[in-house]
Amino acid sequence: MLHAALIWLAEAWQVREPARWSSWLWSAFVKPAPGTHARAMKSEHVPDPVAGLAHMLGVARAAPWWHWPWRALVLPMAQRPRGWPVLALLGRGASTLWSLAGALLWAVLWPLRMLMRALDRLAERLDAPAIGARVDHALAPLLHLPGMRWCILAGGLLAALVVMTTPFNWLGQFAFLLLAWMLSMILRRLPGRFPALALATISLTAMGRYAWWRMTTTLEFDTWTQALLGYGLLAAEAYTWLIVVLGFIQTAWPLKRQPAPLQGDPSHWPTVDIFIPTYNEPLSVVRPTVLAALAMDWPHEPLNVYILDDGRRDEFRAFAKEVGVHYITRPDNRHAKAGNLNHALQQTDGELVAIFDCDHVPTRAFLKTSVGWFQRDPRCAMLQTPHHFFSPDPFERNLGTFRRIPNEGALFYGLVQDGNDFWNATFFCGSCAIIRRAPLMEIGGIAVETVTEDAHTALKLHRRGYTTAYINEAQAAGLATESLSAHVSQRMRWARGMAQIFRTDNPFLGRGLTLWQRICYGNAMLHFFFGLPRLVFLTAPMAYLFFHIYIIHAHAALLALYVLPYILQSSIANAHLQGKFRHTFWAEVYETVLAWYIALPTTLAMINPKVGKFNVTAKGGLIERSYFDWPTALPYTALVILNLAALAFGAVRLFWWNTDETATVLLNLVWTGYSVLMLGAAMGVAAESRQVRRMHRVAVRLPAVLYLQDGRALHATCTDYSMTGLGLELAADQDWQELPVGEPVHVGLW
Amino acid sequence: MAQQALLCADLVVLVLDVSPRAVHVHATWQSWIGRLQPTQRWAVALNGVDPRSAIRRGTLARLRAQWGERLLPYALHQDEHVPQAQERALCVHQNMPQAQAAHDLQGIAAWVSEALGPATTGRQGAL
Repeated sequence: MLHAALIWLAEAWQVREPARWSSWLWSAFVKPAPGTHARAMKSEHVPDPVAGLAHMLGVARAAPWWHWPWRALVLPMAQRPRGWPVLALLGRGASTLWSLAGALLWAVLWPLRMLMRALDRLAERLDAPAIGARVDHALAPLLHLPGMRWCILAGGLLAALVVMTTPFNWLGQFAFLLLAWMLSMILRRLPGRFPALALATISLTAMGRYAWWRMTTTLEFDTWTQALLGYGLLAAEAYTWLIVVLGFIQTAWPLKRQPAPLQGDPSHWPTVDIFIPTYNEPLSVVRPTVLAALAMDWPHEPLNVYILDDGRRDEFRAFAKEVGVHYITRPDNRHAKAGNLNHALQQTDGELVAIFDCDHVPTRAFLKTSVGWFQRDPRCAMLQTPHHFFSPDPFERNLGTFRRIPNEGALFYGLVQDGNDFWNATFFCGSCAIIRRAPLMEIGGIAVETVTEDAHTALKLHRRGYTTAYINEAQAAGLATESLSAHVSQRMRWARGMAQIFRTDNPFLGRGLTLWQRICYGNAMLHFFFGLPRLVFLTAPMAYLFFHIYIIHAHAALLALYVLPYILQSSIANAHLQGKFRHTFWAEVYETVLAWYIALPTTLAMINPKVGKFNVTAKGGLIERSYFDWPTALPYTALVILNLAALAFGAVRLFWWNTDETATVLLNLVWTGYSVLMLGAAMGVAAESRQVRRMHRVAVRLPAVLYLQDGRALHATCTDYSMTGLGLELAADQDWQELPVGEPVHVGLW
Repeated sequence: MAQQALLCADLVVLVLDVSPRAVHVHATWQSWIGRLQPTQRWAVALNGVDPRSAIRRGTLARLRAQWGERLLPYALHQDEHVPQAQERALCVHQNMPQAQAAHDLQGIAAWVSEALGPATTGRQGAL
């Protein structure tokens, strides 16, 4: 048909050479000279475009329709050079469009870039320390007046309240956005802790404005369904606001405590018992920990190391006898790890108790680094050091982010615990810690009421007025959980335990804690309630996209103007305060994975704290082949499908159903798109990748000697080692052929 | 001959085999060292280090305790590459540059040249 039309057109225009494009173009504009004889066109003169395309793609004319697009993209190898131009043309077009769009964006953003550069230059010129010192000098007499600090705080809060509650129109709100952003751009370049606090304050103000606006103007609903969903979303948002405020207070001033030197004659240093509780872990996991504990530097030789075996295994008893450590068992397994430790506390008498999970291998310097604070501060009841893992956790292994992107522990041990330490609210984390026996016995030993006995024990110590300490120097290294399901169940236990403490021994109530300690504990516990709110965020846009229910009563553009400063300022402040310890996107993915699984335990524990039992975290396993953990990923698969369906509905709304409210549809689509991105990454975590080694290798650079069987010795460099193997690097010009394969060798390490 | 060299040298490097005998003759060597002029510097190099042998490991620890700061940072390892090079009448680094002995000797040579410094002319060290 197309061919017939072309023949007719060629005849009407009198195209001289129908096979050439240029001839068609010429004839379209230039009429044939009058009087020339009109030439009749035959079908063989005019090329058939369909036949040409079929030839180019190598498709028979009678082939089914889907062969055409299929062949346009996927061709047999032999025909590729001919068919390729179709794809190449498409690709070139797309790339031209892309680069045009990029150039346009670059041009549009030029003023913004210039502004940022100017602000950076301004920040360079500011002599922040000198200004700070002058301000300090000027304000010092004022701040020494009694009660003045509280007055200033109250004044600041009042001013912030005014800023948050003043209504602006869209222009005013836009000016606020711009000014706040410019101020942050200068502040983020200034050194020191005060600019960081100022950034946090701006971020909180932007959030406060959004929260106030959201609560006062966006909650007008027409139906019960709208109201229910709308208030549900508001509750989820209110939760995040609370967590942000508590989090900023918690990490406002990280203490960064240094180890205290030991005092007095070594023979008078306190006696230490070292507890290594175990239940079902294999001896191969426990052995290095016990040997390392024995090798720790401490004047009271030999050290009292105790294996607390709840598995009551003969193999462990024999090993304890062989290496000369104590072995303690008990008739029952009541209260799991907490009960195990309490039983051992009854049978020992050291002044201090060091506790290591059976897979946390301590360094030689552990005691010498940490005991000093117990001498310096007689009220110090507990000292915690970070949990450091030399194997990647399932998130890092399956997403390939190990040692490149800070993991979730980095935030807790790098920033949160240092922040807690400032408020004297360091948490006990169950391992790599030292506790003074007397205060521990005073509170009745390790707490047994909840499944997170460690945090609860620290809370009880703080209630009695004891102090705690945190030293951010990794003094022990352990194995991270191996599989995603084990990791998830470990976090489920923590979440459930924290919710239990929140219910049974709420840190906001009861005696003995300072306001700041209450905030730190409150944040640690409330943090684990993120499950439900996150599920709300992942599904909220569906109310509009599927059912056309408005859950936020506001114009989309105004909503964007209020949300944008909030999100922008939080990201700038977070990047400045936690940049080293937290990667925003991956942290969100992490929470997304856990959300589904901790939503239920935390809710159940809030209703009835007695539900649920202690589950031991499986460690030291090996994932022998790659697989996809379907059972764990199932909820996310469902959420992804739902979100994709919402995207499809949104597209229909955008072009047909709701063409009068394009902005609203677009906002919901962007939101859903972000959710899909996050859920996709969450599913990526469930693709368990294969683990090569059972014993994880520690990366080092050490000189080494490789002794061959015949007595020859080669100079080498050790690149990594573990309990069962090591990596050696020989000089680059070494002739590898000479090295014998399968022959036993010796390696000498410095 | 050795005494003659001792008297002339700017830098004296005493080479001891890592064997129990070297531990026992510590006093003799100390009396030799005592005869040196105050301007003459001296150090101790260890030969035949082999972590595979328990006797040599123990001896190494005792020699370290005896000589302390005076020991060179490089010790010469037990290495079959040395007799192999001798058989071919070559230096060990010419015969097998990657050998541990070649690495150790280079370290010792670098240390000696550093210790003598550029100012020393004429007189050589005794090794």
